[in-house]
Amino acid sequence: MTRKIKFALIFVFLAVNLFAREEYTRTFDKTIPVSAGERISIEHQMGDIVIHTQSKPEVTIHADIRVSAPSADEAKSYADRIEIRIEPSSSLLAIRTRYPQTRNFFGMHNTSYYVRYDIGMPETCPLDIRNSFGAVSVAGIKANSDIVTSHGALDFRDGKGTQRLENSFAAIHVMNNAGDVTVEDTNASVDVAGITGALNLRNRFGNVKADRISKGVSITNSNGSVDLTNSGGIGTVRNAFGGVNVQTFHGDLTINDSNGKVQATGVDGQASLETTFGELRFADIKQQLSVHANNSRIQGERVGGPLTIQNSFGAVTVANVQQSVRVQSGNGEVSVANVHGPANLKTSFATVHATDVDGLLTVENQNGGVRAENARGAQVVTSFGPVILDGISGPIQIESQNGAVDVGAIAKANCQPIIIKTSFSTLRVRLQGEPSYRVSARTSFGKIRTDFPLSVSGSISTDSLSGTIGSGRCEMRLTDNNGNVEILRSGP
Amino acid sequence: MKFECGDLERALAVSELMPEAREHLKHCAACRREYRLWNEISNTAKLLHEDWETPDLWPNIRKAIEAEAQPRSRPVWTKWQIWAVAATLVLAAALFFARPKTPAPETATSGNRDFLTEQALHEVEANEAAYRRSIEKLSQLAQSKLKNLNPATAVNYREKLLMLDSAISDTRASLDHNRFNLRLQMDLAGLYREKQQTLEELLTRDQKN
Repeated sequence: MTRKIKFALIFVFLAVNLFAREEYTRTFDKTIPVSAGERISIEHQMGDIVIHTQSKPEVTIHADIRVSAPSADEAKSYADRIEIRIEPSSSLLAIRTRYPQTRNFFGMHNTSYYVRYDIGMPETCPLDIRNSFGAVSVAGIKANSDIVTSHGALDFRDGKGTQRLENSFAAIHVMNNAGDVTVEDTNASVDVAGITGALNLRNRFGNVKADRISKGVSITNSNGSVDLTNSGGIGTVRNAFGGVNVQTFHGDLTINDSNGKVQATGVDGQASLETTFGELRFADIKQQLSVHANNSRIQGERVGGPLTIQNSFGAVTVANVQQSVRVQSGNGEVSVANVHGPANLKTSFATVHATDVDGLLTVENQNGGVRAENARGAQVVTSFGPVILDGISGPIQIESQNGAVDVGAIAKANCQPIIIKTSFSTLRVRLQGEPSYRVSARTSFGKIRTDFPLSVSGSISTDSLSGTIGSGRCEMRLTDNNGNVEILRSGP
Repeated sequence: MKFECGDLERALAVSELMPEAREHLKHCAACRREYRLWNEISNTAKLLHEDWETPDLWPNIRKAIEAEAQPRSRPVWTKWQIWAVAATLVLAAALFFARPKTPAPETATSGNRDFLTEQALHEVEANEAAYRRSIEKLSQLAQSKLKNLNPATAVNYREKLLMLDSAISDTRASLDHNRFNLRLQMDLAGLYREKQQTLEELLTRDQKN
């Protein structure tokens, strides 16, 4: 290296020294005896607080005080002036941090600092903490606490008692507490698990996870997802602009969301699910389920109690319901399958499809077709769409306009009246076995045809017919306009 | 001799040690960074040398430094020499600002760096100002977008942006008294980042939908 380069390097380091800063660290240690149940209050900012418990009836305070300043002297001087005030009284031990002014001769804030606490305390002492711009960690406390912090993560674990935890702009993590917990956060994630008590949680603009909450959950969030798992009691989840996912809940559950996807699986009690503009899914709801949605696609299966769904502008698909189903939709396709009770389905401008309804199927549609297989009767009103029913083993009543009707009825021992009205399309009834009907069929600009021997009564023409099939036990009234009427034999 | 990191500076001065130094550099990332820095400084210093108007500058600088170590009665530099040194300092400072960031040595009380250096603070404050200006532009674009959203969504975005502005304001107020605190600077950067993401999400909302 040449001499000139060496001097250049010297200058570089001179320059560096002009901008150098010094750091200084001092520690603070103090032990204060406290009585059982004495409240500990900590007021702090600019630094972390770590709380752990100990068996001795005393509070041990350790603080690391760190300062950065333009010179070592300034750093030390400032660090020495940072106060940790210990203020004991008969029922309260207060610990407070006080920082001196940092402005220098030129009015510049040229000193920086923080204080980090590590505090040991008896587990039975109630605890209050107020902090900002620092993380708070509390472990093992077996008394009530009230912790408020901001701009620093809040971590609470292995507690017992009633806990109130509040934070903003930083995450809250709670793990294990025997007792009720109230959590409030803003704009950060919240993660709570293992609470043998009730959880009351509010958040804004952050994701929420709650797991293993045993005595009731109330979660209110906005613009963040909510995941609730393996919990019980009374559950209420409110959200907006974020999804809600509940899995395995032992109790009644209410979800109220808007603009978010809702999913509920494994609910032991009743459930009420509500959302708008978001997909809604459910499965394994043991008792009654009520669903309210707007502009949502709804899909669900395995419901133990009656199911009621109200929706608009979204498809509804439901399967395996142990009791009745009632769906009221608008402009959305409705599909139900394997219902062990009556099904009442209403929509418009979309198709209705029902399969295996162990009860009366009632459909009200407008400008949409209806298709059903295997039901204990059917009442259908629609227009401008075909009605195709098969395997109907009960009374059939259909009122359609401008749509074909094709009905397959299964003969049963009891009377199954068939009353069908349509226009501008074919009306076809297919009968199995040995049917027994008093037939009254009428059409205009069409023909009437039957595969069965018919004992005619009254006048007979191609567009009007009255008579009996078999012994004529039940009424069959078929009315069409501008379409054929057919009574056909199907199956064995 | 077992070559260690502390020997690097000596090896740069004593060419006989360089083979061992090179061998060490193959396995030591920290020393490679250090070596690269020295090379950069060295190269830049050469460039600086070529810019000076007189070959007497460096001897004069050396004399000045030597004189600084001893008591002296009066300054010996001419005006142009002072300006030249000032220029050197500025360039040197610029060099230092641009150097690769190396982690601070750990201390007994802290596993991480807790405070910014002066240089880092200058960089951060300059970057923050530029970042803030960019975000302001994004905010202006977002205002017209907000008017076209459905009321509930617009209220939601407005609330979030207000909340972020409030948090940024709080953090900046704290930083005003604690400018070198690395954690506060990182908090502020995080809030700006979140505001940027929120604005970008808002501005690209139609494209997503």
